[in-house]
Amino acid sequence: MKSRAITSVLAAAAGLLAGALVILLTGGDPIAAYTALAYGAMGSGYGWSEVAVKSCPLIVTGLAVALAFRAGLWNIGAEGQLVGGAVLAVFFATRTPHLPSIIGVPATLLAAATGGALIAGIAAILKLERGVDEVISTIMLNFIVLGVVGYLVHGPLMESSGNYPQSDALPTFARLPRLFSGYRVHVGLAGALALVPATAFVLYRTRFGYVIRATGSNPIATKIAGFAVDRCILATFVASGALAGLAGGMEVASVTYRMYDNFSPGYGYTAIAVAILGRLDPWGVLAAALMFGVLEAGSASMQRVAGVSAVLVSLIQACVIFALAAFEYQRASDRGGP
Amino acid sequence: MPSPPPPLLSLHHVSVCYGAVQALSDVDLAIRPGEIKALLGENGAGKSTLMNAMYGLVEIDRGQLVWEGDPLHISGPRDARRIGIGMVHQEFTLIDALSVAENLGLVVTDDRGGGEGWLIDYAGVRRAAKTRASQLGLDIGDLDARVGGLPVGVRQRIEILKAMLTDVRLLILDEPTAVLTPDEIEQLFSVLRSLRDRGVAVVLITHKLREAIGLADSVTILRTGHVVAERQPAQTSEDELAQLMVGRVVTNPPTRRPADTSYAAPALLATGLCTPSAAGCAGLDNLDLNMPAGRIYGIAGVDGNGQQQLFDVLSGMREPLHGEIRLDGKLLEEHTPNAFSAAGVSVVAPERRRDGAVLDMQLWENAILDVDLLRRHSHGWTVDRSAAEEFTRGLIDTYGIVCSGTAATAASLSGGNLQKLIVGRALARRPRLLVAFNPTRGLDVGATGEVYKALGEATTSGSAVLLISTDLEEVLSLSDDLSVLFHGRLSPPSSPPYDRARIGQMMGGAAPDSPRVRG
Repeated sequence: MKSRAITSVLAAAAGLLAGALVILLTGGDPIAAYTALAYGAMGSGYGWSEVAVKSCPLIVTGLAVALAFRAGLWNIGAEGQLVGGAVLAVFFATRTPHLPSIIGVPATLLAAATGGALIAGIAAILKLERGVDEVISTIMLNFIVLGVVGYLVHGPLMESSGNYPQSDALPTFARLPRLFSGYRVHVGLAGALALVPATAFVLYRTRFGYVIRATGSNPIATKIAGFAVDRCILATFVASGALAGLAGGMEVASVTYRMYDNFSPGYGYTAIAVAILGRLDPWGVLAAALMFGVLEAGSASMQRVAGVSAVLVSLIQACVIFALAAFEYQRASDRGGP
Repeated sequence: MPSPPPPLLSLHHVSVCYGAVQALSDVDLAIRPGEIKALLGENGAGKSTLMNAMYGLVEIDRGQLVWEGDPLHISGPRDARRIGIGMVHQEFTLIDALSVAENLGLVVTDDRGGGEGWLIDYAGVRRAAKTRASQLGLDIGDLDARVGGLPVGVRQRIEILKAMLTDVRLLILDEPTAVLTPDEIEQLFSVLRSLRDRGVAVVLITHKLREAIGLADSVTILRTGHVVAERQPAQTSEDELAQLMVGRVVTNPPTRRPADTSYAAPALLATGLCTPSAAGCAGLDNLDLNMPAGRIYGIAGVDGNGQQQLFDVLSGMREPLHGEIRLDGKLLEEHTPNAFSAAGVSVVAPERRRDGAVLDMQLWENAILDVDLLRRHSHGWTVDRSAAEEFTRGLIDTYGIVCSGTAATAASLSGGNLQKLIVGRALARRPRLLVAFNPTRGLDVGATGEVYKALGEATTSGSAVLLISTDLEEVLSLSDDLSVLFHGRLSPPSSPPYDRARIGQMMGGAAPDSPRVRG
């Protein structure tokens, strides 16, 4: 475990190095760029608040992806599940008569989790009943969800004024309160942080988690040993989708307040990188999500101050994953031999 | 007696380390042309490492290989094949998704280094394969069959053919007889003898003493990475070899009190089981099985006659086309391992690393890899790790499992120790029915003895034990009742003492009541 964490740290460093190289090659100043990035993200209360805002959905979707991967389920559909969850949350919150916040917020988040779980459930049932590979089905579902959202925000969910293709704003009873006035950081951060030990507990301490891990490592042996592997796959997929949906609900209830096209900047996809960099371990996911959060939050400042495009952050993220794969390959061949 | 020819391959002071583990230390060995040398040793003695070093799969840390008097440096299997060393691996290296011809074509292509054009000459491969196979007396069946669907015995023959397609001067075989029937073993041995007579040097890795004595011209015994002795078969005995192998006096397998035959109701009653046949593998053909509790019921037979299907059906992995299974009179309606396990069925699967353990999980986690045991070692929703570890320590003590502790990964255990854990786990829940399929395949003498002892103990606690095994000796020595599985049908049970010759004929297809072997 420890050496795997070290590998992740090295991979992160290699990704930053690769980014620096690209900045150099394009005539920029990597030190200035990274300083600007770091300062933008961590040099002020506002920066830290933005790190938290960016990290929140990454933590929760990262946990969703890690949980599924742990069971050997390649859920590439966190993006669709996140967006689907957010849509259902908006549906619920904008079509419900006024509620007290104490009920409205949990109910909205529950609607979001249900949305994500339903979409993941489709992939799970396709896999179990018809043997459809979940990689294919979850990717396809992502596109379906995006298409449906496009229709909804131009149609049934379009704001009552009819000006823009976006939903009405969430009523205040459904919104997550902010922690400090003037900063976007919201109580969802506490929820996301609490989900980390909760997921670790489920994974490492409970019977459900035991079966998830056994199924993920060796589904055949687990099945022969008498475990209901199909039920575990369904439950894990649904739980993973629920987490991703919850992330979407938190995002819409605390940051955007509305649903629109391109609602998510690809959190569900970045989550895959987060889960892998975090070695599918909840605490690792937290660390990786924070790192990616810093990159995302500081990218605007880097672009503004150092003139390096914010897109560089995506390149760094990609290089981190490449480096990780390369280090892992090296480790595996070092261990090699018969 | 003429003086022996100079060695074809010799090893001088060869040592190999895997990390901190010294797999071979200071090994000297000489292999002469026209000689069959048996390398004998328990699991973990270094046999496989030694062969891998000769085949270029393992780099040696110290020492030297000498080929016909010249220092030899092999950097990989391709080099080894080029100078005329062929190897038949214990774990098959065939590609399941490809046909037999395609698998053979790959070797040919690989040996050319891909340098002679882009196309594989399949017609040539087929011709060569057919000629070779008939020369060697290897029956490999349809060259277009997908390898993945073939029974293990056939796959092994393909593996041998693959090694022999090119001209081989030294042939290394790693535990080649583990999956073969007596007849097939005899066939293989006559192939090896004729190779020897043609001047080929043969190295046979085995832990079967009888094979070493019966076939080899010289026997080298390895223990913990050292060569401990060299013997001529004529001047030694199985007892002496066994002692040299394990380094202590071997006790014979425990004799069990003949099981009580007065049970009225069968524990397991299966009637009319049918499964479809797959490529080269017989399906079950209206199979009936009536097993009393408290006894070991042995199923002998040549691999590919429905053993896998029988195991799959009785473990719930496969739903039969027809037929029903009753356990203690209760009809098992849902054909899933989950339902069968709940009804009291435990299994010991043949491929222990693939089907019996979760290799990257820890021993204590593997020890409770069973619905019932997991429940027993839990508080409500959470796993009770300390209870599970306590339970694991019990298994480790009872079965003498060698490991670094309950937190070791299952992958770190040798085959024998892992199997002891798996068998111990299967018995810990006191199953009504234990289905064991080739439970000692590839195990050394010590581990085999432990497994036999455990199976015997299971019967005394009232379990019905079904032993499906392609090792005839094993079935003969353990079974209270014995049937032969042939083409998916089961012969009527017979009781000890068994007529070995008769059973051998039935394994070849003789009708149970006629003394003739069917065409």
